Amino acid sequence: MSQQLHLAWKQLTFQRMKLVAALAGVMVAVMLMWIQLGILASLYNAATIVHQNLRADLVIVSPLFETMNQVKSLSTRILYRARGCPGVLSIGELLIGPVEWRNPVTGEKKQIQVYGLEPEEGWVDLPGISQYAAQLRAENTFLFDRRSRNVFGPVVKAIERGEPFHVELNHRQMQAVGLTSMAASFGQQGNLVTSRANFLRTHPGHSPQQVHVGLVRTRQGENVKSIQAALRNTFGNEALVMTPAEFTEFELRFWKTNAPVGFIFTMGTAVGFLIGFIVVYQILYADVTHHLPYYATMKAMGFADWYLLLLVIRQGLILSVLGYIPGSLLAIGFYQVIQYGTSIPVGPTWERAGFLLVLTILMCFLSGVVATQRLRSADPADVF
Amino acid sequence: MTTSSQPDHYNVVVEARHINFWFGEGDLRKQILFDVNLRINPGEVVLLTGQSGSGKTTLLTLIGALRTLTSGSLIVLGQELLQATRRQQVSVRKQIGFIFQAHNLIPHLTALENVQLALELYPDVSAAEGRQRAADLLVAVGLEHRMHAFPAKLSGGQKQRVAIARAMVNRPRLVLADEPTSALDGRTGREVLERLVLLARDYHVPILMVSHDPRIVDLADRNIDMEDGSILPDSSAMFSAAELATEKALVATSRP
Repeated sequence: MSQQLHLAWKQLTFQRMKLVAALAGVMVAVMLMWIQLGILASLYNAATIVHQNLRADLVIVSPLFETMNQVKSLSTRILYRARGCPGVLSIGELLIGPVEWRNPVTGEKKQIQVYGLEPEEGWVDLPGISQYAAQLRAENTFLFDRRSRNVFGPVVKAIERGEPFHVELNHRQMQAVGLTSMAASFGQQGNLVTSRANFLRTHPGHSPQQVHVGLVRTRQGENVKSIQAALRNTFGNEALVMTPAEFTEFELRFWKTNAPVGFIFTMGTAVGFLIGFIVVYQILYADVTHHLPYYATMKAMGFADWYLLLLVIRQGLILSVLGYIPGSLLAIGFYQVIQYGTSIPVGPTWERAGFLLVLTILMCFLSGVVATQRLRSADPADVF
Repeated sequence: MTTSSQPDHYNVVVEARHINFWFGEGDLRKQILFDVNLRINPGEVVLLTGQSGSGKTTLLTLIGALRTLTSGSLIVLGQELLQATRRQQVSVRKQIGFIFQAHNLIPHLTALENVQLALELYPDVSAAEGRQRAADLLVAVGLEHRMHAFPAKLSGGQKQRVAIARAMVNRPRLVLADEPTSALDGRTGREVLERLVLLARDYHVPILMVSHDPRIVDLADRNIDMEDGSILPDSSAMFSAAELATEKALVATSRP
């Protein structure tokens, strides 16, 4: 097809209002898909931010462990047994549990998640932990997650001014000495990181013989897979032994299956796709119907069916690209709003942009293909 | 009675033999054409007349490869259309210039672009050449000042002249026109047809035109009259005017 006339383009742009309506439909669909996928991705990211930043070779958790949001504890004896295994260099503990945070300004009480670890051992690579290791050694100190929701008082401002921030955690006076950066999630409004000793101080009910996530570092040059197999063999049903990557997948699987969020947002994306498909289909179908006598004329002139088919599909593709661009820009604007409102970091990625471009083109392509069904009723003998 | 000369197949534009045609299926099957025989020779302007319902438009759509022939034989531009494939039909259509009752111009293309559209069928015609050819034809039909107007801004006669230019731009080997003047008043209609016939004679393109307008009979070389799906016996359906004269002379001399 030589397409010197840009017929598809002219047909689309001849009636401006119709074009605007069609583009609005594609834009809404694109935006919806961006938002749904964005929230889903950031939920998954927020739920696994600690997992992703573990600097351990293997992770040991209780067989009852499902999610870091609701931890099950494991006896430290398991960890000591792991340390005795050949190839294991060292072990570490990660303690996780919520405390009650009393906002010193409003007096309001909020729950916040606490991560306790030995800060100088480098098990979790989050901003500030090794930098503030010495301060965290002191009693009743912690790092505050700057990406916590804005309900905990002016912590970030105080620390950025260089002032310590005093707050009551589980009725114990504590002091924020620095900031780290994690993420609020659907499960937690905020996080803080402290030493193992301080965790035990704020969680008096927690037995020091219990650990939530056991961490294993292997000797250099050792095969992690075979040590994992050996540990699994040793513990049997007593513990789960995973690599950090497997541990991340494990957490994600919980959110994807046990919690409906994954399903909800995937459905939301599908609904966006469907809306776009229906809008574009309606527009193209109405357009083909409206132009039926002209298509019949073109058939009589000797234009092959595929030429007209491509003409309709081409219109769909133009709509997809034209709608995708403003729809994406709008979605990125909405990301800022969501991030501001929820403190859940939602950002566009090139990967998602590419995926959605493909999805949008597919959406408009399918609409075009279905709309061309109507072309069959263009009978060239009818034009006489 | 003997025919004076056997037709040379390469020169005959349309040769129809014993065409019968039905619409509908089963009990609703209705015969539209009855044993139609017809020939069109190169360069001829043939007028097809008859009451509405006489089957003339159906015959035109069969010749234009817009309908599928089921009985008889119909050779158009060297292609047998009986049991022709879709691809063969499309290939015949590409060599024919159609002019419709309604002009059927594409509303979102200008006059010039509407004429150029027909050239989209030939990707090897360059944009510049196509534009030139389209513009030349619009000049030939007297629309040099309206080339960039959209159809909505053109009068009925102007639109039909664009349609003529569109039909001629691909240098067709046959022009089929169906009541091209029915939407126009008498004077405009005749003007438009004069232009069409003039162009066709210039290009040496044969025309088969369906019309019931008696005022244009003088523009045609021959007149074929149809009634109830048959060609009337006195119509010169099979022969050119010249052949017909020879035939009459032969018949006259053979009489005692």
